[in-house]
Amino acid sequence: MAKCDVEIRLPQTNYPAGGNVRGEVVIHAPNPLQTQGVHIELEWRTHGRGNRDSSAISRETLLTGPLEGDLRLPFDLLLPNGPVTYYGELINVEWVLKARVDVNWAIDPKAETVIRMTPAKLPPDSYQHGGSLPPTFRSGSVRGPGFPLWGILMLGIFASLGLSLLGWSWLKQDPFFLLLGAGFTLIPGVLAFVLLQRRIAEFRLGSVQVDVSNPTPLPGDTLQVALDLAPPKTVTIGDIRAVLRGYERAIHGSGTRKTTHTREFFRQSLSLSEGPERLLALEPRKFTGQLTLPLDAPPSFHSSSNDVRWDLEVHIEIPHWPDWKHSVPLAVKPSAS
Amino acid sequence: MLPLFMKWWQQEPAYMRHNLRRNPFGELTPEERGALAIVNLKDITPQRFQPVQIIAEAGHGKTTHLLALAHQVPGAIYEYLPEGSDCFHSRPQPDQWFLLDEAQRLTRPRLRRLFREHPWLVLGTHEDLSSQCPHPLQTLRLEALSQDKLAQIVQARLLWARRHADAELPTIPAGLLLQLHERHGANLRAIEAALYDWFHRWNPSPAPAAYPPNPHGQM
Repeated sequence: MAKCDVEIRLPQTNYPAGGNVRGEVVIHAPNPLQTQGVHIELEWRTHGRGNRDSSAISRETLLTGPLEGDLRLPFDLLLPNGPVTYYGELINVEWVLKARVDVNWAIDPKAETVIRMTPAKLPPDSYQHGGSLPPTFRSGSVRGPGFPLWGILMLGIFASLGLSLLGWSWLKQDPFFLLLGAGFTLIPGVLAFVLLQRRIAEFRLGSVQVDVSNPTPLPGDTLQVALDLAPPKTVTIGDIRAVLRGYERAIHGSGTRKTTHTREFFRQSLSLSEGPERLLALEPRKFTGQLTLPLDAPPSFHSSSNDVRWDLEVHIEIPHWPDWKHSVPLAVKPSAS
Repeated sequence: MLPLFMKWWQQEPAYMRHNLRRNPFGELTPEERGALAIVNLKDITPQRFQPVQIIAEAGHGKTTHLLALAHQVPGAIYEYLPEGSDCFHSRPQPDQWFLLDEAQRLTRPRLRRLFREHPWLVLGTHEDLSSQCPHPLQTLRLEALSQDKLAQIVQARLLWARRHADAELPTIPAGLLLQLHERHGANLRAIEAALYDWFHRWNPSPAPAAYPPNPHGQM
């Protein structure tokens, strides 16, 4: 049973990022109470489909020692510049103030209240997205991930074994060896294709230079996208497409019970080419276009199980050949308007 | 004051305007899950070297039972064995209850050793482990979920997510619960996921009653 009542009183519930949260912790202790102190803590936390994440940002001790009677303990906490309050479908990010009376040898009386942090007119570079976002990308030559020599050897061994089993099954007319051989041949083949798709595409395209004008945009900003190609041999390509995507990603559970849920809330697609085109060997070509971030774009957010992500995916179609795809992560900042 | 133009992601979902702090069927922490569990723990009465195994399919409540025990039995240790793991890391004392989830993942020798060496055991498993146990092994099979129990679970979640103790809680149409029960049977995880989506899309009229602007959550 609580030895005292605790309440957090605030004049308002909406606060701009970077602002001060001023209020008071009101305590009613009918009897003298030995305590280690009265603390107030500010944290952001997530709730929704994914595992819950939280991060304590600041903590202050308002009083130390014993307490008795009615007390009003004022506090003044500084909010950081983000992450702002977000209400989505899979993910919600909220800010909470927690007051706690640290009572000796008893359950601590507590109170908490949720506040809403809104975007403020602060330098966008100072915005905090929760955790660290994947590194953004402005410009550079993009190459598909390589494959280690041991991986190629393993795939070769499996594929050879599969082909031998297929040969054996043909000789013996045995469906069991046919299935086994097909498995040993197809699985490494599919795996190699998935892992090496971009590298395979680069045999035809050469290295692709991707430029994104502003990888840390504000809502309403325009993103210039440019692709530079100089294929080693003449090649015909299909459509070149840039897709700007905003989506939530929430991870629920862990281990075998881990499920990743995603929900796309924005998609804008733009063709950077005018249909199929023949690119001549070693002749540099540039493809450009621009995409606009919506005015109501939420800022990027990252925590261990919950993300609000923005990315720009570039897709080059190559007829009768694996397509080239690359995704550029964006760190969208909020705007105060 | 809120700005006149609010972006979609700054607008509280309807359930927050109807006396709920959050979606009642969102993910819980293990502690909350243990505290909110509606389970009959009287069926789980391990004696010294008479362990209990809880057998059920995925989503049917093994973990919830174990977490409820962890919440109620002082000093009990809960451990989940992830896929690919065949040993546990906890070191329970001889007088501590050890609650091991996905125990079928232990190797046979480790399982036999656990049964031999640890006196207070409750195991969550997909497989019957009695052939490995040198002692009498009690078995609790979770196969059915009654409509009454489902209604209790739903009510417990709504109470947990309640914003103001003195204001009314929203209700879920009985027909919806019946439909979900028919579709998913005892798979509570699937029912919870469907109710999460239902609450997210829920937008009843008329407009909600005005609540005090500053909700003081007093505990």
